Amino acid sequence: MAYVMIWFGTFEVGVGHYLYLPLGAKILMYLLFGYRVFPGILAGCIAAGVLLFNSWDDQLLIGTMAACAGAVAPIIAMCLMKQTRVSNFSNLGQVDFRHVLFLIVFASVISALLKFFVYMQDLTLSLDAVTFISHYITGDVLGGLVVIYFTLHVIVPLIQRFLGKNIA
Amino acid sequence: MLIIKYNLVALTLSLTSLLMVEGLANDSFASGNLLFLPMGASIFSYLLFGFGVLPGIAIANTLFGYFFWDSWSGLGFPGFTGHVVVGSLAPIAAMLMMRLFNLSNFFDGQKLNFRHVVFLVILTAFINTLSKFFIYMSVLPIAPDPAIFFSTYLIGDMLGGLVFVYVVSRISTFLIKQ
Repeated sequence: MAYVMIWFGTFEVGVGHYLYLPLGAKILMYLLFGYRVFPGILAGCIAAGVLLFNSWDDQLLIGTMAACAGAVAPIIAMCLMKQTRVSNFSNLGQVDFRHVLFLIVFASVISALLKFFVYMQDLTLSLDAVTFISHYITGDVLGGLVVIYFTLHVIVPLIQRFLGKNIA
Repeated sequence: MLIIKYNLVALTLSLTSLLMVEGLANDSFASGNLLFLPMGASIFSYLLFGFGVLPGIAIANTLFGYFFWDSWSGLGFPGFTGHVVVGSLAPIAAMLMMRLFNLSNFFDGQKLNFRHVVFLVILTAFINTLSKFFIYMSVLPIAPDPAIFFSTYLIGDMLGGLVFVYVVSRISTFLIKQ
């Protein structure tokens, strides 16, 4: 997803990306396979950062910590929603789609704040807090929605069509 | 007549909670109060009486901000927007959001679902903090440290909201049983 994302523009640490697709992919993976895919997601985030984002503009340590924050944010959002019993994502068949939409927004906010706290530790980066947070939240929400929409309206129908032919 | 009574109760609750945290408050808006009870008072009022008590809560916030906080520490209109407009509307936004996304109606029959209220408090804290951050960052004479701003406002709103709703609901249950 990070590779697809850079077709639409470069990623910059200070402003993020207006279509941050990886968050949607992370949420989708957690929904499908549970929290046990965390190591895989983390490895994917770090690999994407090193290979595609030029080690987060040569900020490897801080970038790795931000990748951890980005991988943990959907888990925090899902746990909060599960513990307060507003939604339960353990049975995917019974999940209300509106809960998933809310999860994208909520995870985006948590992710943006966590990443902001991480990047603030690096004194060499001069971040504008308002720009950083607003851009990261916008990018995460848009990216998340695009991934979920694409999955539901393109990938799932394709799989159903393929499986349907095999069954026939 | 009933709505006026409800508004008066909401106004009293908000003013009382604001007075309770007055000694703990900071002079400026650069960092928040770590036990911001008025957040709980607004949430409790909206849950109990509905959104019709918005004028009561807004009036309480306006009176307090203008007279006790010296016109929002001299910030004037931006201070009013942050404290009164955002502070009064954040719980409504959170409740509407939770209803829109089909997350909760907050009541199981006649009983209040406290777990859902906990989530409402958390969501309200996020909305309130982010909105105030975007307003205050551009108007405060000395730009606040964003890390301190976020941590104090978020924790204060969450703790204040939870403590107020829990304590007042316990007291009111006890009084009703008596």
